[in-house]
Amino acid sequence: MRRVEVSPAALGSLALHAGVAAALMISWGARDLKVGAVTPVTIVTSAPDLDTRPAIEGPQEQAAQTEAPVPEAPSTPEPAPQPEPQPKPTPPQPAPKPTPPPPKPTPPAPTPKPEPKPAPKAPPTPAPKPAPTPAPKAPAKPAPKAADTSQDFFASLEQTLSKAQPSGGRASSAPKGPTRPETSQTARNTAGAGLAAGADMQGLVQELQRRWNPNCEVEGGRDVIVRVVFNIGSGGQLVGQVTSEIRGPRTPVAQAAAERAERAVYAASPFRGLSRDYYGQRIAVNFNAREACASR
Amino acid sequence: MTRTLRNLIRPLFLALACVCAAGLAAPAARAEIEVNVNRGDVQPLPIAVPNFGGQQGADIAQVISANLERSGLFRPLDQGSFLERDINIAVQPRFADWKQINAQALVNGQVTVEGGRLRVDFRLWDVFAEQQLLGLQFTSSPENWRRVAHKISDAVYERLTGEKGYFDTRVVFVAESGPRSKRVKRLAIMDQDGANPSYLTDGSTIVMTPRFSSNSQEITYMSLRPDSSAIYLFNLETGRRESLGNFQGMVFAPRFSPDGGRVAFSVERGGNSDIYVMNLSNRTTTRLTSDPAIDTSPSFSPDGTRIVFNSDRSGSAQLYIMNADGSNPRRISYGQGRYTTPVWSPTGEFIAFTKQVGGQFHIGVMRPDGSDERLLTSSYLDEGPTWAPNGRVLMFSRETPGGAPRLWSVDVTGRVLQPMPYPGAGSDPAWSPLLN
Repeated sequence: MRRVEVSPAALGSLALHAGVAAALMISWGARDLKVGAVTPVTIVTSAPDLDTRPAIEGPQEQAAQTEAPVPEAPSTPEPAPQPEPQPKPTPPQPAPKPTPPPPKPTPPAPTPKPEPKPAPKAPPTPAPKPAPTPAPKAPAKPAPKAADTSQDFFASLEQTLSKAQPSGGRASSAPKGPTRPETSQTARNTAGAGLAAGADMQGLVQELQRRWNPNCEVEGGRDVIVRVVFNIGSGGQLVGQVTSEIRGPRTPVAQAAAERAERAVYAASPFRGLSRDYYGQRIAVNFNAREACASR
Repeated sequence: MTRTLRNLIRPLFLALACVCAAGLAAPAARAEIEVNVNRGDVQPLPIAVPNFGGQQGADIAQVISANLERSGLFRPLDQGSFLERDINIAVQPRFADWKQINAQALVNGQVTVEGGRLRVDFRLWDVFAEQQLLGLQFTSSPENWRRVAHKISDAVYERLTGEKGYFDTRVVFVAESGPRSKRVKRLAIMDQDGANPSYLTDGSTIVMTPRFSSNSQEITYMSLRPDSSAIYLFNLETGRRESLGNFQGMVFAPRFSPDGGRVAFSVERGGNSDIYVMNLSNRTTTRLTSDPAIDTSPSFSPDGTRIVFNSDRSGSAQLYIMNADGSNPRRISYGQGRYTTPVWSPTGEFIAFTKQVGGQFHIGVMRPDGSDERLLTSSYLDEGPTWAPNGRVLMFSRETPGGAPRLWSVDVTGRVLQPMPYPGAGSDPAWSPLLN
């Protein structure tokens, strides 16, 4: 019977590899949660406290109220306990002098009264939304080879590696980009090294569309394109940091838009129903507010 | 010997092979799938504002919710749907509970009163990213709790939209009361949400067109008497009122320059009105227009270099822009109907106006070059727009047949149109800049 001798170095190497493999299998979804610091801000009474008397029920359709405003003692400026802001003195009470009621004057600014004939307001013209293009199915990816443990583990590993190396194939079990057709919801508008998306990415895109809340009402918010990049772990959950990049000027509105795009990714995760091919994959999503807000 | 050598070499070879394999695997890990998302759920942002802890915590939360909702950009969630109750500001919220009701953001806070001072701590949380976006503390006198709520509203609004807020502001307007034949018009002031209204004049004279200065501490307005009119400066801090002087003819439509150093206004003599500007430091007056037509309603651009006004020199009231010294007047509106009361937005991007066409009145906006005209409202009588300091919302007065004028607001998209919470009759509103 042949006895296989394994040196301590080999055992160590094996343990190291097992550790790395285990680390790759584990999802590091939990992020460090911190309660941020509080920035102290002091405000003081800077508004003109001219509350001669409440006018809340004054106007309406009732008879004229002719009593003069009741002056009140001016409130004193509040001492600011915090050093930063500057206290402003509260204003003293204005005392408008009552004058004898004049005869009815007529205002000089002419305001022609209209005929009450409604004119329909021009409605905003809705822009047609781009229809999602059906994506062709990605070809099935060959399952990664399982390590042969029945005989000599090292010999098997050597054989696997020697096979992989000459052909230029990847040792990773991540999906193989070049064989995957262009299947994104709409045509990819960026050139580069990105892999094409598979057909089942449509589910991910739809979920992101459902969760993305672009702010089309703020000036500048409707023109922002944000690229959000993240990694998906086994089980479809986010792994590591979600990062974003703004296409264009990094204004506060664009920054808020980037956070909304990131929020959509967080809200849509975990991405269930994705092919296992995407686990461990890096995904870049272009959130295009210009398109999303086009019909507003 | 051979076996021993093999035992020694094999681990080394394997280690080297693994390094090579890792190198080969690296490009695959860096490669990425790229997709485009071109549609979204374009709705107001769902936000949770539970009652703050402590005295008046519920009132402060209510004011914040109302402010955010009125902006049209947020949808405060019903407090009855909240799963986490009595949340402690010192502890992280249970994000899962807030995700379950689809709150995208959460505002919680604590109110304490110490030594006669009100202190309000609040935090803004991104529920799905599970992180704090903002944490601030405000201190003030207890009676100022509404201002604290407005300050918090502004902070939340700015953090989530990237745009300055407009909640810690005030509005001066003409409060109207009494029957139409005997209408009393008083200068009044209130918070932008209609709270804390108070009168500044007693109604003995008719007041019109109040306008804020850039420091929010001064108002200029027109006062109409039976035989004359006058323009006044009214200092809100001191209560001091002063006339800008005696003019031959009727003076009206005053408005401050952005730096507060000048006031532009119109003077009408013999049926012809022209625009003048007064330097407030030396009280010298310069005539800017001398056209035989009616030139009125001057409004400065935010940088103070240009003035938009309306004139009927082309036959009907249209909008014109000239340099601040009166040179180079040019027409910018060419649509049907009459364009009046132009107001330059604080951001400089738009000019708001009143338009009368087809028997209806509209509040509209256009670019300073006259392009991109949009009518935001339509009614029996809408007029007198004024801009919120962030340039996104307009307030104006709306009158229905037989009714009294009311204050309304509309955003620049025209989608968020609503009456102001002020319950009385009012016209001629003017929005203050953000308070300090």
